[in-house]
Amino acid sequence: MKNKRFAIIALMPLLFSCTGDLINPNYVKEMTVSGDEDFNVLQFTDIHWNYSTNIKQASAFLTNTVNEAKKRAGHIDLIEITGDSVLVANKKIATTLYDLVESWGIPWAFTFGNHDYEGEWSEAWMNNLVSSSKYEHALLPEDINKADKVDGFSNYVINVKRGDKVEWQIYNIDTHNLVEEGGSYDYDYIHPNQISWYEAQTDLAKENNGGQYVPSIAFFHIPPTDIYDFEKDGTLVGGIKDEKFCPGEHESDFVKTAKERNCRGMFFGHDHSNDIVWKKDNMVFGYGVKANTELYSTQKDGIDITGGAIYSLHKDTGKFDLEHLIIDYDAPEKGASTLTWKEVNL
Amino acid sequence: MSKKTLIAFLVEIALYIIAGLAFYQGFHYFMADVDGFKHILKVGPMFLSCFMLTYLLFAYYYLTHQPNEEKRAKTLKVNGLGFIIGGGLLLVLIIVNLILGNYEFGYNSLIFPVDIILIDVVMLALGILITVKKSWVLEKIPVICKEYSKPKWVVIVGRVLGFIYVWVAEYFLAALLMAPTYIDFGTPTFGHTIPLYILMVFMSLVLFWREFYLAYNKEKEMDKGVVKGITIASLCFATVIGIGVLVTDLLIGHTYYISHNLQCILPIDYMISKNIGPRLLTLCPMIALWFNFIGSKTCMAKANKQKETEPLS
Repeated sequence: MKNKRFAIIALMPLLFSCTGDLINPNYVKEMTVSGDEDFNVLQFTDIHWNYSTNIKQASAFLTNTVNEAKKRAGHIDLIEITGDSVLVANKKIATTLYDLVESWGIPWAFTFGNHDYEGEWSEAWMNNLVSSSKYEHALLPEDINKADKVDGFSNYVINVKRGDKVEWQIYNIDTHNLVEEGGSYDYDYIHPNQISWYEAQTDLAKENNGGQYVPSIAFFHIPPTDIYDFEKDGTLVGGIKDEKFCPGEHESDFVKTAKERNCRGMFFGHDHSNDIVWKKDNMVFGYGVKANTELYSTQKDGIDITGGAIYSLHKDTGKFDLEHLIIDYDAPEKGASTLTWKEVNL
Repeated sequence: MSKKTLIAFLVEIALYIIAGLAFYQGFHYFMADVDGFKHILKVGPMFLSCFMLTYLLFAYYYLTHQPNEEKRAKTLKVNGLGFIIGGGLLLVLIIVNLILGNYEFGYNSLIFPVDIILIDVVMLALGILITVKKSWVLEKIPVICKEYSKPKWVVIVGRVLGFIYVWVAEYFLAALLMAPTYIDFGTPTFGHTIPLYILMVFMSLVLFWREFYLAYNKEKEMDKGVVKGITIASLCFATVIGIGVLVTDLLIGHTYYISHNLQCILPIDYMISKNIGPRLLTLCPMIALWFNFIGSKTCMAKANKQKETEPLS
């Protein structure tokens, strides 16, 4: 018994150090919302700037989309860039993109996608750039993801507070890149240690919320394999499916865990020709809208399925509105097209 | 080795390195638009201009490795014309893109698009020089290898494999030279990439050695160099096998080390989701060593011996 006690005491620093890795305060960013207003998030995904991109046109398109989103929602509080913001490019092109995002003066969050490391830079360079003090509005935490035991560079949470209360949590999860399997590459997935990290964060928020899990939404790049269940059993919310799904090859418990912890929505990118969204078991799950035509994209009724997705998180209820803002890439002056769809109180 | 041959050898190496750096950049331009070539008018002149320097390298190679004067003159004539047409056409396309506002200054490189314009101007000027002063050029550029009696299959296979090998080798040498832009000594798996960096430089070293070997033996009897060549080549062959085994072992044990460290230099791997880069780096030098120093030299030595023993008729 004495030995057991000793063993537990001896292991305590180790246990604390492990937990410390998972609940480091640097993982958490805070934003506030006042009055009865919604907290509006604009998601951009798969921007894919590269050597062939017409930077002027692409910049004008993104800025125009932000302006259109502001008109629709009244204001945008946060921009979420869910991976593949760049492709085969150099540092100048990548920096130009993030300078543009910063110039909008709106806080912006960022997760990595599988194409983000194809440019002529290292992972550390990209991570340091986006989390650097140069970008005052960028929320990616500096340093924390480099030295911890949680896989990936872009795991962090934004607590949206109204007064003293955390009303919503917005999770950014790194779905990494590719994993080698016997000579070929498969898309990566949300690893078990990231799920442990997520559990630690939600538990921490629960403790400070009277024992109730705080409603949350999660953003990442590569869809999980659960997408097939949502397609099969979920209720269609909106959008189109114009290509086969390309989820991570490994099954992950992330969706199951998140459902148990009051996660109300999960949104991703990766498959450029899909912007379909479903609802199942009190969770909304689906794609954002590709924010450029680079690499490949799709059209409907002659209009590019390009633009952004707006999430309006409501006060108290744990419900939100979702709108896909679709703007023809080659004719942004037309404004938001008739393909725009909206669902309220999801 | 004469001074003239040595200079020609050094020019070839310098041209190889410059062409490699341009090829590396051009390949990335190409890969940026490879899915459907939607921006081919814009990107086409960019990557083709970069590839022109590799064309110049091949032309120089054939000129310096062709002892037959008649064939040398023909090679020079054809390639001079090629430089004029290629360089001229690309310059026109670049001007069209400039007028259309497709090229934004300074984005794709520090001086873009001045760099690709310079390449095409140089190619055009070289083409004109070659066409106007053919004899002078022929006189100035020496032959750095002697004519050996090679079996026909060696010549054909050598040319095909040679093209592929040079593309791969110059790309990876340039990738290594460009490492300061993407290398991160801080990643936990950086050490695992070292064997691949060795293979990257090894591919070009095999080429340099081959060229030096040919130039060095130009004034000597081939047979004398054969045994030495085969011995060194065999040692290198074994080294490559050893590194190749190490790379494979690391791939099995550390599945993320390539995607964490080398993704930007292996775009094809990520496009087709196959891990071909490390295999190319291992297989190519092995094939080259066998083909240039072990297989073909043994074959040539055998042919020469047979010739000597044949009764005079």
